[in-house]
Amino acid sequence: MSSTITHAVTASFIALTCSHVAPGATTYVIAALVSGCIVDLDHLPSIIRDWKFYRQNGFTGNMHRSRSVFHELIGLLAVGALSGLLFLNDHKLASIVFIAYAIHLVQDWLLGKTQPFRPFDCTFVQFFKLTAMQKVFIDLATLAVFGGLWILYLSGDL
Amino acid sequence: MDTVPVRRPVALPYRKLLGLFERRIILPDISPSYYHLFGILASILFVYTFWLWLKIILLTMVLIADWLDGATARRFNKCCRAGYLTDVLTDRVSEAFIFLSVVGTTLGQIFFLLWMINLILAFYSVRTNKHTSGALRFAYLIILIVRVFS
Repeated sequence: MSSTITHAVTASFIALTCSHVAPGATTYVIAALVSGCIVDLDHLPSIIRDWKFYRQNGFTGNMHRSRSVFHELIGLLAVGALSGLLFLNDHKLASIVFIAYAIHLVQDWLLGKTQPFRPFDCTFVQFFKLTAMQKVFIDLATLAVFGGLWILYLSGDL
Repeated sequence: MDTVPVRRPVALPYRKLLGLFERRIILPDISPSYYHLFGILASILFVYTFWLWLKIILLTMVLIADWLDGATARRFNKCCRAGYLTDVLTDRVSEAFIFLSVVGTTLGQIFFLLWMINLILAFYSVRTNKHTSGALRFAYLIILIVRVFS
């Protein structure tokens, strides 16, 4: 849950600042926040289905098991295609949706285990072998930094 | 199944040329993931950049980092399928950020479309165990350099 919040805060901030959106443009801000965290909804069906496993083993270090293919490279391809369609109508919205989604995926890939080429190849990939404690520390530090940047952005100082 | 997909013959002269440099440079024995991380961060910085020269410098750094991760893996016998997948994943993500930042232009739209084809080719590569991809970032770097001097 804390990861979802951190990723949403980070991804939406980067998407909004990359696309030069003014803090008053509420539609874009909401779109960025939603795109930055919507992919985590795919955890829910799997968690409900494998509730016993998660109760026994805990969520920490096991969340990669509850990802759908949209949490991997196929998801990036799908959102790329969606952004292509959005681009015909609204350039800014297209880039916000794509960047927010991509940043969320990148954070997940960098900090945890992933199967990027699922369903074609189920090899696990891990950039850095981090302990649960290190992940929590990175999450909190990222949240603090980007929380501060969000305050600056909303107050118009950025 | 721990096999690294082979390069296609068309890429071999280029690999040989890089191999000449690779043997001469001093490389630290670190995890190639540090180069991947650097490549992704530089690509995200690319999105914020407007100055053409800075774009060229960042893109060059991304390409050098992409080369060094493979060179490090080969030098210190860290080649494995997971490493190959990490490398391809990093390349596609890096391309996504770079080409999205220029998608407002016709050239950017073409490159974004080519990125999507490259991503499909990445799936094809892991499926067939034959590495197939277009050097899109390198092509874009050349276009940027030509633009500076024209």
